[in-house]
Amino acid sequence: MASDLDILDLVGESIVVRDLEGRIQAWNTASEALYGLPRNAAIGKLAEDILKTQYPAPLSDIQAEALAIGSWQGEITRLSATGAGISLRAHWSVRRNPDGSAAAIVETGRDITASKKSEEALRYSEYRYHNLFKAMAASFWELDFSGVDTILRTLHKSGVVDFRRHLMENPAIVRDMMRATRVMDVNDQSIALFGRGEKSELLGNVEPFWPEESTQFFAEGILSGAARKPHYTVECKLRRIDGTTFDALFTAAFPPDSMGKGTLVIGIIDITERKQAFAKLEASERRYRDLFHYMPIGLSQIDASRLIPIYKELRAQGVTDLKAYIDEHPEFLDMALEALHVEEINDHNRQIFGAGTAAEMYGPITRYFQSALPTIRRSLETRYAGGEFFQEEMKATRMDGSVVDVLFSTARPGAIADKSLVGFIDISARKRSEEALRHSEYRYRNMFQAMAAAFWELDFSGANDLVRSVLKSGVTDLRAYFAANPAFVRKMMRATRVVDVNDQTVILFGGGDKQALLDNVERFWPEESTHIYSEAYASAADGRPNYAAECRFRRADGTLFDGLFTVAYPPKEMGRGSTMVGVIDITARKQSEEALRASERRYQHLFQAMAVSFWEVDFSGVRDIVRRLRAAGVTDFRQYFKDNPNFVLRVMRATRVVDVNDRTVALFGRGNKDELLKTTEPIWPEESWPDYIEAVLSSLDRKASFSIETRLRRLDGTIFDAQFTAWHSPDNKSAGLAGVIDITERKRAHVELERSNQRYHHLFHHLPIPLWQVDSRGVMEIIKELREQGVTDIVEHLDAHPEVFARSIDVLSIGEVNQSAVRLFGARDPSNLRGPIAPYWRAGDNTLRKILEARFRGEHSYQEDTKLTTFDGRTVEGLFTSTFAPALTELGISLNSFVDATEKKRAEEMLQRVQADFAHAARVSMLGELTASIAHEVNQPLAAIAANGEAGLRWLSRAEPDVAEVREITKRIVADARRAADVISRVRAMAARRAPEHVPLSLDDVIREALLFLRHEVQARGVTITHHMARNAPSVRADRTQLQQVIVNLAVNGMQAMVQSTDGERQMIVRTTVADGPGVICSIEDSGPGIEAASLVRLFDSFFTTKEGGMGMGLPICRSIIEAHGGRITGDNASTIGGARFSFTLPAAH
Amino acid sequence: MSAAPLVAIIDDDESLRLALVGLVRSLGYEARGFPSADAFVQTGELASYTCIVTDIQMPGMSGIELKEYLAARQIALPVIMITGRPDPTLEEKARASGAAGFLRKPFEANALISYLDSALGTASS
Repeated sequence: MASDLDILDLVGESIVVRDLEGRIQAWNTASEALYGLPRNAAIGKLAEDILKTQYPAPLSDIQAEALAIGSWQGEITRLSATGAGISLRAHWSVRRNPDGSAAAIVETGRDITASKKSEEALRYSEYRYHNLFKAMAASFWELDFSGVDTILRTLHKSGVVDFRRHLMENPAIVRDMMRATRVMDVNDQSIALFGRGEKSELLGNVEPFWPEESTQFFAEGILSGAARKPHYTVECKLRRIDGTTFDALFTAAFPPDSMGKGTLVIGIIDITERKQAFAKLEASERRYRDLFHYMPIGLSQIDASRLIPIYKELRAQGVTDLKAYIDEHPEFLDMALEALHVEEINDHNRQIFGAGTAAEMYGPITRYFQSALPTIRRSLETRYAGGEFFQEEMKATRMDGSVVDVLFSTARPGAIADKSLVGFIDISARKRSEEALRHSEYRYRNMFQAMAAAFWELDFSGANDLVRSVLKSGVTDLRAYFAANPAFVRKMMRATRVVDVNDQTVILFGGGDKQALLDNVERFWPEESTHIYSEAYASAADGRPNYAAECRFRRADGTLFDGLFTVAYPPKEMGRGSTMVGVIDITARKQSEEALRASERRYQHLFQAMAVSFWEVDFSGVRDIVRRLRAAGVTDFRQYFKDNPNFVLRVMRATRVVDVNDRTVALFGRGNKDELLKTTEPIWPEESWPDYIEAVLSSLDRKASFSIETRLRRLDGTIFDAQFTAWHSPDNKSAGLAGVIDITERKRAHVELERSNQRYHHLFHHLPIPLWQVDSRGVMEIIKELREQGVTDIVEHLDAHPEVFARSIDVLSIGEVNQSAVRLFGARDPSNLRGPIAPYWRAGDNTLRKILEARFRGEHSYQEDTKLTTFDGRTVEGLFTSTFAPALTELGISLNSFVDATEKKRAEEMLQRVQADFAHAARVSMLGELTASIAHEVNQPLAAIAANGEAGLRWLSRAEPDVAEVREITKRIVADARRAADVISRVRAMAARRAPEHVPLSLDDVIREALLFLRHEVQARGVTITHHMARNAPSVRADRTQLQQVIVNLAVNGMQAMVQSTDGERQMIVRTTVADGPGVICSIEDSGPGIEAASLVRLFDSFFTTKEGGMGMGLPICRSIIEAHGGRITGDNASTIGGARFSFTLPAAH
Repeated sequence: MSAAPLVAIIDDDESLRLALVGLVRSLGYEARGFPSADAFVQTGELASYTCIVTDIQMPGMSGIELKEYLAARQIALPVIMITGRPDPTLEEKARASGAAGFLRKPFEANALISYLDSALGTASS
């Protein structure tokens, strides 16, 4: 055996040997480490001088007992050299002289400080857990999932591989799983939230609490647990005992050790109010957007006009699926981004992107979407597919290149195709806290060491031989060799002989007696510990004096335990192959640590996952202050707080923060937990001191918990809305726990709702277009009735039942109106307009019927040009829009707007008059040009009449008047006179100045008349005109005279051109053809010289002429006439007979 | 009265042509109407006519061209020309071609009668 001292140093426990006077004789390395005193500073000193021991009984009694029976044991506490408290389990045994008299007392001290702390921590952790479970403002359920495990196993056995799919396709199985999930325990909050006062009502299975609509979320939770996810959180509907449902934030945490144990804890927070607030906000915002295409967030107006032709082009190419197209043409995305330009932003948007001025952000959007190309791509695809609204979370790139998490939403108002509105909501704070949640980690704690030691004396010579042969074969790196050849290490173990063991070894490793253990060491080393043996051996080969490691050992009966393995290589033993090894059983410690970790984890997991900021505080300082005040006679602390405004500060400063969770760091801090481990003062802004005082008072009143909605401050100074809950340990008065839930979003939703409403009202009343709300509940009732009656064809139904339509008008009444509307209707104030709508629709009640039909069809708005009768009896014309989107329908109203077009109409009429004047002037001028022809046309019949008259007179002057001749002549005179009158009336029509009158007529008739008018001109110029008529040409809606004017004008132009070129036949073809559209095309072709290229582009310009003496107004007037008829006119040289061709198109009259 | 002089009336306007034929007949002459100069020439019976009353502007051969046509063939038929157009140069052109008379529509019947009388060499009865 090795020397006494060597053995002492092998033990991980403190060993102090003292003589009967208390003078220290031996002091091992473990003692040096434990007390912080070197051996030479301890040997020879009186133990009680340096150890400052607190014994459970007087020292003299203990020593007497030890001497009398040979040993004593008990727990003692001492102070180390640094003043730290040490808890020891001490074992005294008496060393005797050969004559049996007592020589010294050997104290083996096991440091149980850490163990004590661990146990305490365990108790505290349990307590915290328990308290949180009981008192937190959340519903907690302890559930037994073992039934679910069974179902999962059965499914697995039956060959189910894709559990997700299987569960999603078979909700009945999920319902079975719910029924298999037993409720073990619930807290009071759960009873309040789910039950009717009786806890027992909840202690069945969970199935009743999961409505059908949430089945999938339960399944997801099960799948998350099975997939070893740390936790599962979801917002879903849950059901109360009374059958009502509510919105819940459901959290299940799965600590790693929970699987298989079958129980776990879930937390549920009621978020109904938040949901409702958001739902209301959403409704309000929708209403807002319907009207003004505006969003209350970072807002950009995007000029998409460059994108429209790009899309148009794609559609023309037949592209229907933009996604597939971009897959093939990735460069398209870049092009599309460059085509979208920011042209206006609001201040919020500027801040999100960190721009100095709004103008900095103008231009292509490309740079803002560098980190979010898939998002903008999906947005573009949605737009291409006709979607008007798109929303997604994304990372936006700011002006300085950094990224920010935003909720990106874009709307393309239906009416304005070339503008998009883009909103950005900054969600980076939320994202950061989610990030922190993911990174939450466990804190592991070191524990105590050392238990009873087992000693082994081992002979390594056999192992040494093996290693030597390996080294000879050229191996240099023993560690690598061992790692690569575990079988070799096992062989070394078999070659390692057990020379001797102590009694402790027999107790620890079992096997009945010592002889059973004197074999080789291999069977005591399970596979999993092979590397420890390797490392111990390699470490000795490196020349290190000792090696220690935690390691699993196997007992003789095959069971495993955790040991602290220590091996020392005393110099004199080296080379002899015999080495001392110590093994201490640390199973209990391991288990305690494990239990602590499990408890911590259970606690940690749940509360990390619950998104509740958790504070552990030490109130002892506060209790001291309170105790002193009570001693000084203070009883009414509420009054005392009032009288001493600074007292609250003292209390805050005396409240120490012991620990906070990661959620707290995320919510309050700046990433560094230590910043928060001070006092609670920084988090309480002065405005919330009254709430803090209430919390303190409730603690002084020994109330178990206290909860209040208040405002708290982050370390960066910002203040937010919080639900603060504090509770107090019933047994440890100085320990306190507080939970903080961030309710900013809920609050903000309320505030935003208010703001949105205000904004709505503000804009409603001040927008410069007339707006009025109509109470449409009555109409909605009627529609509901009609649906219930099974009406499907509303048009038919209203035709058959005019009284239904009449009733629907009667039930509509005007509510709120804005100032613009008051002005439009010529009222004195809004109250004039409230009431039935009928008086305003005297001129256009067909519009109301169209609205009713649109509503019935489920459309959201209706728009048309119509007429309103104003309050003061005028008729106004304009574009009327009625919006009855769902957000409005919920409120029982429709929003109506009217863009007055009376002024516009007036301007249009004026324009028409001016055009008519011009056309008239042009006709007169044209008549001037045709004077010769007209004169001839009139002179001809006049000459005939004169000749006939003269002849008649002569027949009558004869001796025998020839009555028969005179009758013939007189008939001819009448015909000629009529003919002259016709010519005059045609000229008069042409020369007349009157408002154009659009009537349906045949274009070919008009052409015939025009050619008749030109008959003589045509003849005189020696031109042959052919008129080809289209078959089945539709009639056109036109002013006869103006149309004749155009044809005459074009024909005269052609004839004049042909006369200029003297040679060749002068031909003209007037042709009508049927056009698509539908409509009629009239072309006038000539055989003249054609139009000079230089003139082609200016043909229809005013004052452009190639004719000497021409005004250059003919063609421009033709164009304005044709365009006023909704047609087009062109001129080119595509004549089939060689010259110029003029064509005009007119749309068909319906 | 078989020896009554035969007058050719050429005008593309039917009503005027009929009126003129009637007028000439009422004066006691024979008259025959043609819608164009070409139609008249194609009869091949120019010698049987004593006088021609013709419109100037017509499709095909004009009145003046007819006069030139006759002159080229040494046919000395007197030609009285009528026009409906206001062109002031027409009268000069007509006279230059050797017209026996020039009238603008509408015209006094007496003016035509006196031209006819002088062309036919007969005094008013």
